[in-house]
Amino acid sequence: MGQDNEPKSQRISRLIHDIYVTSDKEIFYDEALVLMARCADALLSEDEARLQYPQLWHYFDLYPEVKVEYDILMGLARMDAAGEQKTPENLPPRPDLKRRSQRDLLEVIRQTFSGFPQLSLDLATTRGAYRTIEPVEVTLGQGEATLSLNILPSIDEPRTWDLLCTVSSPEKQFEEKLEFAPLWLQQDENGPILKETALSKEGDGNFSALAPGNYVLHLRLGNHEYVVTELTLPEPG
Amino acid sequence: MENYSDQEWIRLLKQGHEQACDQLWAFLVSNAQTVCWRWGLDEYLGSEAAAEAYHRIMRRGIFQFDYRSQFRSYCRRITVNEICRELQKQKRNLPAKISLDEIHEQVAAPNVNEQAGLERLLPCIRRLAAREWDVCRKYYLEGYSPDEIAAQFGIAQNHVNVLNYRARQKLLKCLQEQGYMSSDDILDGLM
Repeated sequence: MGQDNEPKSQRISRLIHDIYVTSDKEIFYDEALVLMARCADALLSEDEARLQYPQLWHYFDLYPEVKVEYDILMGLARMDAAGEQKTPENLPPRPDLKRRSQRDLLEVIRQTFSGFPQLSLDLATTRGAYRTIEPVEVTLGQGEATLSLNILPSIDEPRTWDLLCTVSSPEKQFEEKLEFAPLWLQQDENGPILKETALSKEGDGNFSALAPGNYVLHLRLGNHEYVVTELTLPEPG
Repeated sequence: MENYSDQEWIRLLKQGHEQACDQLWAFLVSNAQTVCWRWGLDEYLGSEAAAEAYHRIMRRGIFQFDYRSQFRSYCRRITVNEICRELQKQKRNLPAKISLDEIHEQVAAPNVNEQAGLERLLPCIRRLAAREWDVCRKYYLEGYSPDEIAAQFGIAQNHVNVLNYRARQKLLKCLQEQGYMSSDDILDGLM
């Protein structure tokens, strides 16, 4: 992979070459992956794919290691279409998602929710208008980000809550990861996913009409997954 | 893989539907084993890659899949990517690292072939943001793959591409300002 074995002078000339082929219309990794899968969907020949997605070929020129993956992917798709794909004789047991690998364990950072302040709950509705209780802030990981949780009585369904989540970070590298970061709720760690959403560019993500009870909130930011446990939504007063 | 629509696949997998999970697993193993069989790779590598792909799809992929390709191709692509990552892990033979200081030393050394090209590049490199040059240096000079660079900096591989793009754009502009209008101009004396 990569250019591990390239002589140094070739690496420098490759850098210079790539500088001069820089185009205004380059695609990046995520888009390249989508186009690769589309080529496999349609079983395009190399000429067809080159014609249909020239930007993908420009990408391969810049990142030849991804072209290797493309070639394997297309070979596999063609073998499948020709009925040549291998059927496993002894299917190994399905991996247990609950048993995380050591590496994943390091990436999962758990926090216990400190609870919404009970006193403020009494102020949830006054004079017919909804008021929020005070937001509760949960520090994520080593303080790289803060999750602010706020609940508001749901307008759509009585006796349920809307949970408003806002993630902020003083670190620029985290800010860049906020948009589209998945956020989901489970009743317990091993239970099914109840609701899911994704953060906006500003780091906001909301869940509506949640029944009172205990929840586990998951947030995935880049390579880290944050889990907020014992998130309790009280019975509306 | 059963003939569910992509929407059904995503819904069933999110619900942890046993049959759908089993079918996805069988599909991933089948793909991984076919690659190993076809390209003469160790079968164990295929099993590892299939397991990694399964974790990746179930924990992230089903939330990130955007229906711009078929789910089947999406899963297959992740399996292939995991096989390449496993191969990379096995074959990793870290290249000698070249630090910025060493580049300066090389520029100062009169008998180094790359001197001309590097001398022309250095003033432009100094205009880059530190992270842009870090990515560019690791990719082009140190031989790391974008995947490895992403892991080192804790950023997405897409962002590695973005930083590399920005670096190349700035270097191009700077080199053109200095009158080097093509790679031939700057490579003159390099090879």
